[in-house]
Amino acid sequence: MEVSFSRMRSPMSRLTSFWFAITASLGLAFMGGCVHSRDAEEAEPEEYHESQPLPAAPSMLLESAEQHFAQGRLTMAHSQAERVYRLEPRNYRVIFLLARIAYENKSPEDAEQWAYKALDALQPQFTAERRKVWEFIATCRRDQGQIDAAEEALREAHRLRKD
Amino acid sequence: MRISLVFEKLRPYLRYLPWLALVLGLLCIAKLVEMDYVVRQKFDGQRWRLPSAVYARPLELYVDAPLREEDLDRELQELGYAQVNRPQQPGEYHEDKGDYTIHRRSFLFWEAPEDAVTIRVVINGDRVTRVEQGGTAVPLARLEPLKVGGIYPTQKEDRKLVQLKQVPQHLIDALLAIEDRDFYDHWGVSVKAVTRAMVNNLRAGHFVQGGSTLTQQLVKNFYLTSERSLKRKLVEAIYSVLLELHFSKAEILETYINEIYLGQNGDNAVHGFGLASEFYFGRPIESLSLDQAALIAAMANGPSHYNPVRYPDRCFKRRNRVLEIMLEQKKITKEEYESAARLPVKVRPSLRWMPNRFPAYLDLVRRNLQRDYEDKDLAEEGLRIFTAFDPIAQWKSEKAVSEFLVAQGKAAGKLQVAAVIVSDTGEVQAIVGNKVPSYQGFNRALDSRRSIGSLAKPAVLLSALSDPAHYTLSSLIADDPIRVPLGPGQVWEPKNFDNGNHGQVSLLTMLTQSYNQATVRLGMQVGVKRVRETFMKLTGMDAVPNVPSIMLGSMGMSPFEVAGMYYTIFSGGYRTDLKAIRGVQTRDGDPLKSYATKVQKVFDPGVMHLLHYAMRAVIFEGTGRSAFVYMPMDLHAAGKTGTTNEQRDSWFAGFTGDKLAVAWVGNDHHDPTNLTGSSGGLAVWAKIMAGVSRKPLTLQTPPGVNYQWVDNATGMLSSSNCLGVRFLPFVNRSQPTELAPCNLPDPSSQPVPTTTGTDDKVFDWLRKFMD
Repeated sequence: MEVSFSRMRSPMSRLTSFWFAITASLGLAFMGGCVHSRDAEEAEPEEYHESQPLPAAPSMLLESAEQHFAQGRLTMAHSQAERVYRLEPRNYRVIFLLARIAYENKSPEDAEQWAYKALDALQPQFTAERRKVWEFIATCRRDQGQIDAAEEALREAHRLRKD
Repeated sequence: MRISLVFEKLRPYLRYLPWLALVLGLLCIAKLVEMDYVVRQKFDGQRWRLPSAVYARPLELYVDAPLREEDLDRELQELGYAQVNRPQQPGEYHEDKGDYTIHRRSFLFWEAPEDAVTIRVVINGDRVTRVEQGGTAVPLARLEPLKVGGIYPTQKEDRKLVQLKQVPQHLIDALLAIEDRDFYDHWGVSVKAVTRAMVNNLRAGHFVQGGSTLTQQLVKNFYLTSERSLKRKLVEAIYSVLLELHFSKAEILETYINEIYLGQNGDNAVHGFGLASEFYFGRPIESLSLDQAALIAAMANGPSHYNPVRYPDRCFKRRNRVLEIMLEQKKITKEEYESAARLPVKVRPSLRWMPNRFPAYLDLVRRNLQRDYEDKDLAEEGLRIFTAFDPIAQWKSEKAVSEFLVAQGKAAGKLQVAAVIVSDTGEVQAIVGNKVPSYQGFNRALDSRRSIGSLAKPAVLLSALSDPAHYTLSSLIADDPIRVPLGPGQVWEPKNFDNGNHGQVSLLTMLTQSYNQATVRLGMQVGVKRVRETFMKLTGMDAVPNVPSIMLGSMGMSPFEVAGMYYTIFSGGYRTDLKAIRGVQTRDGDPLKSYATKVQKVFDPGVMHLLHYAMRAVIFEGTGRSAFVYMPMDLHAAGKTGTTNEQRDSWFAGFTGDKLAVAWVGNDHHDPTNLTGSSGGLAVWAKIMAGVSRKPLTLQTPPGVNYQWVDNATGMLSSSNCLGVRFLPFVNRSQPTELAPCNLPDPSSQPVPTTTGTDDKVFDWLRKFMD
């Protein structure tokens, strides 16, 4: 027994038969199709989030964060990157920057976790980026003494290179 | 005769007189040395115990930022900005139909100091459409953060230290005019001032004027008590001279300016002109106008007697007396005097800048800080604590709670409410710990551990879905009576809320309709151990009981802990410690510690996508349906209701695209409330979300997830053309392979919509058609 059925019947019963007659006469098949297409629209998978062009504000901050990072100013890079993350929490670039900052801050465990999140923010077809992240994960794992796991990450990166 | 006799008797002792004088002299010198030491020690060392200041998040202004006019108005008002026609000084703004011109104050932000600047912000609807700074369009600007409280020592003094060079000359002139016009000429004690005071007092016939210099007043406040005695006066005079011997006039004046008591802010004493100018006028000391400077100087003599809110007329006279003396001393011109003296006594529109107005949130901040800092340092070192606190989210949450309680009528008397609001990055933005949010006692959001009831069910479903080879959302499970042996002679027989049995139901329906029997059956199939592991991964807590009743939420959790658990779901499988503090600086702005966000991947995003789908269905077609009574239909969300035995606790936890909120309603005596999760927690939750969230939840399909049409009754593969089907997500090609017979729509019968989240749209369509 699907409750959604009964829930529909109750309000529907409040409508007069007159209106039902009109709606029915307009074509139930059309309406059914409408319902199904709406269903599909409702549940249709959206494009998986990935690095789309950033709006101006986070873009400016991210550039600043990347500059700080490139010049070794990790504290400033981190505070700016967190500011971007608050504005755009699903952006691959900022998530991967947080991973790299964590790594430079001698925290390969945290860096690895951020890298997973960066991977999840990328669509499969972004192979170059995904390969880069897997190579980064390999480095993080190696730094933690997880040699086999690092090899596995490198194999994943290599597989993407072949693809 | 008698005198000569006494003299004769004392004669043998007179030879000791020089020695006695010497001893007394040495004692005096020793005392002076000691007093000198005291004077220097206190002045050379740390002069004040500075409470830590807790700041909210700075309001970021950028194109497309979600912001309503009413929210910006409130933020500016709380920041103490004065609405004027032409903003010319920091702390002033003008608004015209959503077009704001704000003269922002300078502020030492976490990242860097920023000077005072004019910001133009245009708001259209609930979005920012233009941002300018200094007349040029910029991608991003921000307001200084609201100071939301402090961490105080036992003696509740608050002050903002300023340097003498920051203090406007007219404030110094006003102060010296009214308090010590010979300041630069005396050595700590002014015979002239004492004489003048005596003459004036004699003329008036009662005490109208004191003769203490600024140095003496400082000594009294700094070293002595307020005792009125000749001895104290003598000591005060000696200290004053010593102080003048060791320190320059500038140092003494600067110390006085930071020390002077100037009023009361709730429980906290307002000390120093720096804080007083912000407290009374909402502007930094540098930008005080002449009339404001005169008023603040006028108050120095007796801030209670000259309280500008209570006694504006008295203050007006006193302020103008200050201005008169300044004119007499040629410190101001006649024109300046006349224009300033004409102005009414005007302080901030509302002196609502009460310390610790948000006690539940500050409680969390304090607890987090205690992990890294000593209490003494927090209360005395003047640390600057930057938090994620969002005052707008807090006000909206408090309003939602208040509206809910009003709607409950008399029943509200016994109810208590708690709520936690978290951003999509895991930052705690607001906390309600009591139905009276300003209550400073028991913090229910953090400390009230109550059974979570059906809030536990997503964890059971997640445990099953993590094994896609055996469980999918379309898998069927029996919702029939179940007996779970607990031990010798003990059997647990959970019942449904409606006491009915529902036969074979899909795992999706099990969650949306919150069926207890089906959930426990599923949990027992999956195994208590795995369900417990899921809880531990979601919460990060080890103390999860190893008993079957955890499947129906028997364990006690606080709303804050529930928020942590649901954040892991919200974030798509990444656990994080919910964060209140962003960073801590010294009083001078040097960073002490940055609280970096950390994440830990604990679940596969594909499986979490399935759970999001099911929890969204809870709101569209299940027990959370009434959410849309309180929030807009297009604010898509996912969540779960929770009701405990005898309706003692009413919970709702859920998220939209940008916010997670947990709401609990119950009472402290564990009495039944007559509220279900839907009528209690959900109502509060939905009202909060309607106020704080601007982004609907969208289901973004991760790699490895595919959607298929499935027959509801059998859980088998079907087609979009058939009746009784829905489009469900599956991970790792776990969709059913067998095809169900297709029920085609009968054109002569009434159509039956069957899928999630669409029925209201059908009604909308019908209504539009009928209109």
